[in-house]
Amino acid sequence: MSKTKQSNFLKAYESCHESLVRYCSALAHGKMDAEDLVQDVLLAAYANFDKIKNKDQLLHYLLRAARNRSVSKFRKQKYKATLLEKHTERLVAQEVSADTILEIQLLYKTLDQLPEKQKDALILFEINGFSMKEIAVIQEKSEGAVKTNISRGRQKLKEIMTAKNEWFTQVFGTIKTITL
Amino acid sequence: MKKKMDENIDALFQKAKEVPTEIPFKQMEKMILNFPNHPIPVTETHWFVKLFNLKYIAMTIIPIIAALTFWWAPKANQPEPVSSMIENSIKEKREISAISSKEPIVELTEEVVRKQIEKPATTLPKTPIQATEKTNLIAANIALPKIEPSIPEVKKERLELPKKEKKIFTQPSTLIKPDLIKTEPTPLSDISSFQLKKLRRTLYRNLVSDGIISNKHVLVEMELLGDKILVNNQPIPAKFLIKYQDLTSIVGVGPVRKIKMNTDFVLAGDFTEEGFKGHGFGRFSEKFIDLNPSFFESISLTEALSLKDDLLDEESKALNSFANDLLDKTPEDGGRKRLFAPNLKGKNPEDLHRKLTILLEEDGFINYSDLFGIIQLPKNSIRINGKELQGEQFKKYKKLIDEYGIKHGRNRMIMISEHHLRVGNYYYGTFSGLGLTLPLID
Repeated sequence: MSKTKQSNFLKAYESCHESLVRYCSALAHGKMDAEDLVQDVLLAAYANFDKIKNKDQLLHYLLRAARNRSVSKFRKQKYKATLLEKHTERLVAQEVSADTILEIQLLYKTLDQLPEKQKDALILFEINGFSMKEIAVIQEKSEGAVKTNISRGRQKLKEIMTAKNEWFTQVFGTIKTITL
Repeated sequence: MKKKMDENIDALFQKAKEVPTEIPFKQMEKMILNFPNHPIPVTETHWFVKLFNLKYIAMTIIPIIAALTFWWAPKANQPEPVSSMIENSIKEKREISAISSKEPIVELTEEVVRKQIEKPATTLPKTPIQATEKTNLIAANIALPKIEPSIPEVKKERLELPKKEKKIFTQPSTLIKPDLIKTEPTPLSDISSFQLKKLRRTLYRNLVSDGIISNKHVLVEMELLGDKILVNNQPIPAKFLIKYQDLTSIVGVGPVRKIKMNTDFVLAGDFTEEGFKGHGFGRFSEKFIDLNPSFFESISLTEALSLKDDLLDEESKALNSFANDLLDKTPEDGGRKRLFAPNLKGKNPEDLHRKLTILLEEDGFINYSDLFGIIQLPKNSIRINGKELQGEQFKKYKKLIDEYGIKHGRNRMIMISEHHLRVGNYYYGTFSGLGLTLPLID
């Protein structure tokens, strides 16, 4: 029975893994350990797996759980510089180049300056590659609202990046040099 | 530039999308396989523990205990019924007699004892004692003196009870706190414009709702004498006295302390023969003062508006006639005329008088022969003594006018003479606005 549950859960989770981890990485960036968040979400999902009627909807459940937990966890934790190191170490272990790591980290940091709704919608749309319809289902909102959030989020992201363009390139260059 | 930024953002998102996940699937797979085989145990708490948790105690039991304590507390203070006290004392005596039997014994019936006990409390209702058996009591130990003091106490309490009840229930609802009645004059404290405005609004609202005045347009004169308050020479009913003392506490009390107000102004302070000393807020018009001379007779404002001083009055009249000559002969617009009061942004009008005089003298508008300056402020232009200002000159006056927050308007003007400054709306002798009259220097 238990073995079946484990295998069933693993089977259902396999297709969700990439999306969940990317989403958690973006959400948790600089606030908490993404691995902790993923583990938390998985443990909760596993405990309630029997209650999830539509197993195809597991990803939606996981993403919603991750978002809720990230908010509650963020309230409890302070910004930790070591989290960035962990993130870098893990990506280096995955043979990701230093350039890409820094770019991704800067993107996550800039995303963090956006309002929660816009940030969430942008991550799901741009990084996870969900359609607006799917995001609407996950966020339990109308498609129009999602579209607005994505559009405004992108606009704001552009503004932030344009405003900090000089600083951005300077710091980016410096950090790149130091890391290399 | 924008396109480039868009491309940059797209490229960044693409990288974030393509980069391998931070945590590999194998790691998560291991974790899942290590999840407990059995369902994660959820500790089943006993129903009793569930029911009587700290929250339950805090929310239910404590209020119940508090309510019960409150309910029983007055009963605990109530005197013990006399009959039960008598019974108790008799029982005590029985016990004492049982211990000491060597002493000479006096036979006393219970009735005798009861009579002895009841003697000082003859006014109390007698409750029949059921017991009829005879009891042996030791004469020396019949502690009548010990019992007796308790009886008058009981009697006292019984007698005081109706008084207490009376105090609670028959107390008049309009009891005045003695500490709130101040009959000695209090020094006049600083009252801000905001407080005066609030005072006027609150007083009008209460006076109307209490039926002391018929409506809020009535001119009100409140005399704050301390032990009583007169509103338009009529004393406020006793039941409202404490309320109005509270409402007017900011003004204080005194034999000449008054509040005079109508919908346009409020004055609070001492009104004496020498003049008014206090605080005021609102708008006045010459017409209003003319219509209510008695109201302003003790206010030096009348003097300030040069109604009594001949010299200043002459100057004022001359200033009016000078302005009349400059006015357009077009009739004034119809409709309801409201009193206008410029807001000089809290600045001193005397400074405005001084600055304007300097400017007007510099530009030759006023001199020894031409004593009056009429600055008309129609829309988007400034006219001084009929001359339209242009260029730098316009800017110079505009700057000063803006500095004092004076706005343009159809009949808006600044009228200035040696001792007068008026800022407001003027139309053939009818002025509404701010008037300043400087004292004559001998």
